[in-house]
Amino acid sequence: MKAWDEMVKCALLGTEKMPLQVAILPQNIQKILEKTDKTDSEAYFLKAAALTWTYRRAGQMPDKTPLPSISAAPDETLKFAPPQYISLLKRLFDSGTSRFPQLFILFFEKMVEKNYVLTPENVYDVLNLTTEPIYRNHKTLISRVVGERGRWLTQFNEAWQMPQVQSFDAVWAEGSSADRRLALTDYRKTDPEKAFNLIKGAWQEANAREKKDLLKILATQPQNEEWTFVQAIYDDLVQEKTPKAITQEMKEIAVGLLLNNPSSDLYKKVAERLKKYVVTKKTFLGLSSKNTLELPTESDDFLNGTVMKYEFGHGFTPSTNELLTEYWFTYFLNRMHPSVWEDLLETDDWQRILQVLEDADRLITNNRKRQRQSFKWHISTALGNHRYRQGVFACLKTGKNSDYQTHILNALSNDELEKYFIDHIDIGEVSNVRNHLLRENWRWSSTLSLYILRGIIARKNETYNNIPFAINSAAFFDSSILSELYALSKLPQSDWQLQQQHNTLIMPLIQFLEIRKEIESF
Amino acid sequence: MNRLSEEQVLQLAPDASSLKSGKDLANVKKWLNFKYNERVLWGEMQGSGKDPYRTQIDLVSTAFKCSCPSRKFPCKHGLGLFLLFARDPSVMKQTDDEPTWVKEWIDKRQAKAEKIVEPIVEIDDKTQAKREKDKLKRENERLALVQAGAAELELWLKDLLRGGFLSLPEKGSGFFDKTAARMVDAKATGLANMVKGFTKINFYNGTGWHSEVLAQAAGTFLLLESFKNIEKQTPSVQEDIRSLVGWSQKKAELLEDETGEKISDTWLVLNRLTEHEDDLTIQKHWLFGAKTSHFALILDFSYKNTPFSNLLVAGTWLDAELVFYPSNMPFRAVIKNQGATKAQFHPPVSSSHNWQKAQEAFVEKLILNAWADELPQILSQLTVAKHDDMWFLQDTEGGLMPISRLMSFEKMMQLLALTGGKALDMAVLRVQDTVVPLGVFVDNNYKIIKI
Repeated sequence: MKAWDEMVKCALLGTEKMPLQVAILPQNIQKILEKTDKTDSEAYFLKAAALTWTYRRAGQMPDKTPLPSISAAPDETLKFAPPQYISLLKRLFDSGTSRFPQLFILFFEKMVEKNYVLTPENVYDVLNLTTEPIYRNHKTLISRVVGERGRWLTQFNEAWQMPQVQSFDAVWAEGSSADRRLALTDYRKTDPEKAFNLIKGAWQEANAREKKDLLKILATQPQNEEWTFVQAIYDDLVQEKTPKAITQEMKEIAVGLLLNNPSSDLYKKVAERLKKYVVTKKTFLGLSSKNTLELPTESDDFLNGTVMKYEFGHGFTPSTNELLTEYWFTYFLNRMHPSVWEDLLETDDWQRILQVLEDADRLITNNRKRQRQSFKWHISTALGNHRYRQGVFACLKTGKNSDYQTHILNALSNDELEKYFIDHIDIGEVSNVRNHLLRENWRWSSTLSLYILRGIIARKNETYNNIPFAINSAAFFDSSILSELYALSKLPQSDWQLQQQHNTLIMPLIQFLEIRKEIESF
Repeated sequence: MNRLSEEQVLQLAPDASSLKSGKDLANVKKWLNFKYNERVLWGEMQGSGKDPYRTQIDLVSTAFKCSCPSRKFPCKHGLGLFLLFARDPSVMKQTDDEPTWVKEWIDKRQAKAEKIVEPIVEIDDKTQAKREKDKLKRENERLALVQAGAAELELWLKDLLRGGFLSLPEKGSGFFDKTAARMVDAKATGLANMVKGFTKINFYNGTGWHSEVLAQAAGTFLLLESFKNIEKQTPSVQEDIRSLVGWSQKKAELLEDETGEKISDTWLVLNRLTEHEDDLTIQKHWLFGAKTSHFALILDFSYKNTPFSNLLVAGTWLDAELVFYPSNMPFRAVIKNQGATKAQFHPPVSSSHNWQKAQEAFVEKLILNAWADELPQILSQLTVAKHDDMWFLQDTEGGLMPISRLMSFEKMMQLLALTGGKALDMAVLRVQDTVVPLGVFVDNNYKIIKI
């Protein structure tokens, strides 16, 4: 309405600066105002405004410029989740979205298993989860549970939209180096043959850095024909008289791969050269003999800087107080397939092998101030990488925890690991091994759950370390410990530490396990 | 039986902390016992005292009683027990065998609902005459004060206009609060609210505030002029003017007044809005009568967290007799008799066919009360539409009404999630030139949009 807009202008500037022009007002209003005193210009204006305001409100008609309507959401093809699902979802939201994300995921997986979708009232909150970092990897799952209505709603918020998955061919043709590498790594898992052909095809055109990336892709579980390819690359690399840093890096990757494979030429060559450090010693009466290991104290024709640099790409120097030969020897302990020591020492008794390594270690380092781990610790790297169970068990049987890398525990089955924990690990040391307790898809047995819970409860003065671990591991606990938790929750909280345990451990665990139990019962 | 949904029970929480505590107590392990029947739900919970707390809920007309010392209403025990029941009544035993403490309370409530006995206090003529004289004196004194306040406000408006509104954003809310306080001193709380209306304008939304400021000034001046000429108006218009200026009728007086307009109906609670002003919390419920198609506003006030007198649940139906405040356009009401709350009820609901008809109905209300605003309407077959960053509700004939910018993104998404882009009957609140969606009818079920 033009009159109103003109009046707004007058009001903004003030009647002093811009008096009202009566002619702009509708005739009806002008007529009403005829008898009004014009000398009080503000009162006159306000009266005119009051009339025009009413006139305008009463005369306003809805706009009739049809807008393109938003296309309707497709009908749901799946059933809506029953009320108890929705009720549980609300309780999950009440407990906070970052506290127990595992429960949300478990809940969504149950929805998918039962072929349910959320009712429209609840899709907003669930879609919003996709904006939180911890749920970003679960967008596909969330997209499934929000149903047609939720997927339709994502068009109104970019943050909810599912990432557009480009085909491998598109990424390979147009993607950045990093994207191509990631895509090829993934692709190799589904079609290793084609992936290998692509690597071979790209090799000649690739620059040194790209070659290094391509070589890295082969580092996970190389296939048969890939070994020949890696060996050929290695053979080319060692030809360089003055290798650049990138060449050395590539060489080290190739060496790492080839030393892992007992049938590779390099492995065989190194095994042969290591033989000279194996010394056969007769027993006291000369009735039997034992193979032992003796390393030179000075560089020789194998364990020397030039060989290590040019043949193995190993250009680093050891820390102080460490023998160079010993340092280079650990390079092979770490990398070579553990079976090499069975062949060299002519025994498959790993306790014996470990003893030989330990003796060699002592021999060389006698009277030295040591600042590094023992040979046993280095062989444990290879044992862990290869999940070489006979060596791993021997390590666990003979050594202290500090003698080996805990990742050898990867070689144990869940049951074996559980037994090992209960027999050997005090909960106070749990921080060293906690990652091994969090194996994917592992639900601790009732015994292990209780062992961990009781251990944590007993160490109330270490709650700062242990409670966050227990809460982050809530998904691993077996629900059977609920009765123990209920009993604990009723105990008097006689000091602040017990109170803290009650509030930050026992009650949240009860909440978690109760909800998980409920989800699983659906 | 009144079986509210979990969402509906949560609406009854008086504040966020009660809501959280109530949710925590909605756990079977926390209760010593709980049972229910068609009319009442009860349970006992061990609190910090020697005896357990006894919690009772009237399932017919939604009321609570608890022996705990909490001053909140309903208390966390009431909420927890009701929430537990809403989630899954099968965890509770159904029995007609009510303990004495439950039976006494619920029988008393039912008897009260059936018959309200008013106490009769006899007053002699002399006392009555004195009271009336005193009342008249007080009224005259107040009228003089209000008239002085109105004159002061008129002067203030004129001064403001003379200098121009352009400088208003720089003045800040304190400028308006000061004048509003003067009006409160003059016992013209309605005029104070008119001044406070300026502080609700968003001065940072480009040029949108220009028109809003003039509209606020025009509406205020219209009221001042009407008040000056109140004697020339009809009695019902006079009531509206007096009410807008600041005279209020006591709820008890209204309930006693035999001449007041009363409507009995099954009312749909269209939605609820809670606003806070300093220590005062104002709760607005908009109701729609299924049989009479009458709309009503129930206003409730809570000072410093005192309990609200009405326990209404948005999205449910309620059998009730309402008494309307005297007005040329009866809208604000109080509940005289409250019957059963119905979570599941699907009567046919009459609605305007398009925005044209809705506008005509709105203008009819404006003729009766020029200041009418925040009026609910029900329209059929509306779809959500968007243009640039503005959202609209579009009728089947292409008529458009902009959705208020008060609707946050979250609320818009909730509206879209409920409608799925389909044409649905909707309840809306007309706020100035825009609408705020209150709820949608999906497959005959009314679903509220949180506002």
